[in-house]
Amino acid sequence: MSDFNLANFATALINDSESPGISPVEAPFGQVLPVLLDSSLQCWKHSPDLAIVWTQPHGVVKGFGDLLQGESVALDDIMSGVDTYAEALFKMSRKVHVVFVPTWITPNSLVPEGLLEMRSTGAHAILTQMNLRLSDLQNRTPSIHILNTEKWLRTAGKYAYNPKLWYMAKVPFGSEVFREAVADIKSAINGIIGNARKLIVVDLDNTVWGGIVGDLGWERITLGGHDPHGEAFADFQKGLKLLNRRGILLGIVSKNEEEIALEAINRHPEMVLRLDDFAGWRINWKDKAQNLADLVEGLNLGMQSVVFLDDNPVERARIRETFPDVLVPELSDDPMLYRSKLMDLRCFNLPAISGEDLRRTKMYQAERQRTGLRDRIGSVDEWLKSLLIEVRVEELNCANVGRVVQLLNKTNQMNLSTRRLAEKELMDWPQEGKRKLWTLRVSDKFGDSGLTGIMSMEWNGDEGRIVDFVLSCRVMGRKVEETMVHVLLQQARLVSLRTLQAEYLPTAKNAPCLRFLDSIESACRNGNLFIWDVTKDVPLPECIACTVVEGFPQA
Amino acid sequence: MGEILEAILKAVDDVNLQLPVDGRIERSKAAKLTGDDGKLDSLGLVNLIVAVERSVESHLGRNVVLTGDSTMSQAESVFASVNSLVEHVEKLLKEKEVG
Repeated sequence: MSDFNLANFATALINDSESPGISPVEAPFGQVLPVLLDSSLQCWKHSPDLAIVWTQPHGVVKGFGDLLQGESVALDDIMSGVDTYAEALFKMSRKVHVVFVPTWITPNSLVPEGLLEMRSTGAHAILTQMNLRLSDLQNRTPSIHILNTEKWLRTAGKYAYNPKLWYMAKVPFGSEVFREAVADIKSAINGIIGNARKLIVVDLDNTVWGGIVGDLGWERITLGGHDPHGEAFADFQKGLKLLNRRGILLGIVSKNEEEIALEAINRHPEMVLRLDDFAGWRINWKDKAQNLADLVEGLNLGMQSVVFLDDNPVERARIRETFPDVLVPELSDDPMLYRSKLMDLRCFNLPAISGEDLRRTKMYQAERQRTGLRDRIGSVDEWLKSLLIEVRVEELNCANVGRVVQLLNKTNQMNLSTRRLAEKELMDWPQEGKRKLWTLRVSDKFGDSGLTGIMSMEWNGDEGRIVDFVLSCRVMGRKVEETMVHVLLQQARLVSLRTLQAEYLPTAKNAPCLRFLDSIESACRNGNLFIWDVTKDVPLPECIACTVVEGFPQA
Repeated sequence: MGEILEAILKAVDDVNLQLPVDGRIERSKAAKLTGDDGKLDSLGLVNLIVAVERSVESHLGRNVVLTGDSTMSQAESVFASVNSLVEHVEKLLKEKEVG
């Protein structure tokens, strides 16, 4: 939807080969508010998944248009126009899963640049306030996302605007702007549906510091200080740390003596990244592809979650050829460009950061401790008992829905039906018919793994159906799966069900779910359908202490 | 003329990015641009005009204006093909030198 000619943008969307593919339907030109408010229009008949509403500020807020003509306009009048537009966006947002709204920008040709424009009554200052007001929509609904148009224009540079495109065809931006917009939109969609990359694996020598630590010793590697390259390496580490603080895991795969490399990480005074910042590492002289596979498997992730950064083009090629799903960006020959290259990557886009994202590295550190304990103890059952695992079950609610949406949309392996829902759909689902959805939080003596499980059920008469059976790979294999079955059967008995069934819907990644269901002796299997007699209990595993929130049966 | 042809073909490359995959302009002197056999609609022609002006400036360091009367009054013939466009741009640049 737009108040300008979107044909070039629509073609850019269609032509872009990155996934996901987008088939745009253009709303009637220049009728933004009617289209937002009138569901009966033809353009809504296709039931679109997402809406992109890209307008010019003077096209939808009359007061701002008057301001651009040099008229004196009260700020309140302009903001009232913004609020009217925002309300229309909010109402429309219920028709789609996701709405993208690029921020407003004005072409240079409309406003004379100068000191006046950033004064409180100047066009740029007011436009900044308008954009901030518009961005408040994101607090009202999680389905609206504001995108940064200024970044696209900055990248397009002097080709961002061409007045001739406007006068001849009502196209306000050059094609480079539209291509940048498409790239950001696809990155955003991938982030929303759970396809953001989760792990950055870095090399060490000449990647996070300059020089070969094994030759120079940690004291003489190039890092920090007043040296331009040293400063660049330190900044690159700061960039990695910034991403880590947003929940992106860090790992190391390096050909080095481990002891020497770890000494550098622990002792160099200019190291920004310390050992605690890394979820895992493989530092030895083995093939990097093998090391990467070990590291990623140890973190219970898939290669599609990984970004691999290495200064050595041979190593990069090795990883690309061996693991096509790993993103291996071309690092510049000049480390002064590493930080900007890292920040330009669009693969870490997330719509929100949860408390668990922020604690993710610590959770993996705790997992290393668990694994260490397991190696010492030997028997799996003894090891599990020693963990003192606690599981807390509670129903879906406003406080946990954000994390539930995240988990539902990104979990692939232990996932029965691989349903993907937006937040509003998820909150609405239990309200329709006889349905319930529960969450599980898992913790043990090493720490809290957080909200890591989802199970849901619907029923009709005395027959029930498990709809969602989702468990984060972080806690798989610790009898939490069995606990979920135990709890579901208990709940089924509460509502007097006779049978409970689960239909396994196969995907490329959820074979572990089938293997688990097959392992439950009490279930009767018919193809991909598993059926339980609800009167027969599946006992709670001995190693699990299960706590339930009131309103739910005690385990 | 070789340089002008090359600049225009680079503009064609840019415009092709804005066309459907199965509706792109052939990268040759003989390629049709507008008209019955052409690939460009009215928006495509605007995109081409902007792209050619930009390409001539960045590759040849010269300014050419394709939206003036002398061009738009003969738009049908000027933009019929890559070849006719090359000839027209060459003519405009020569007129500027002489003028």
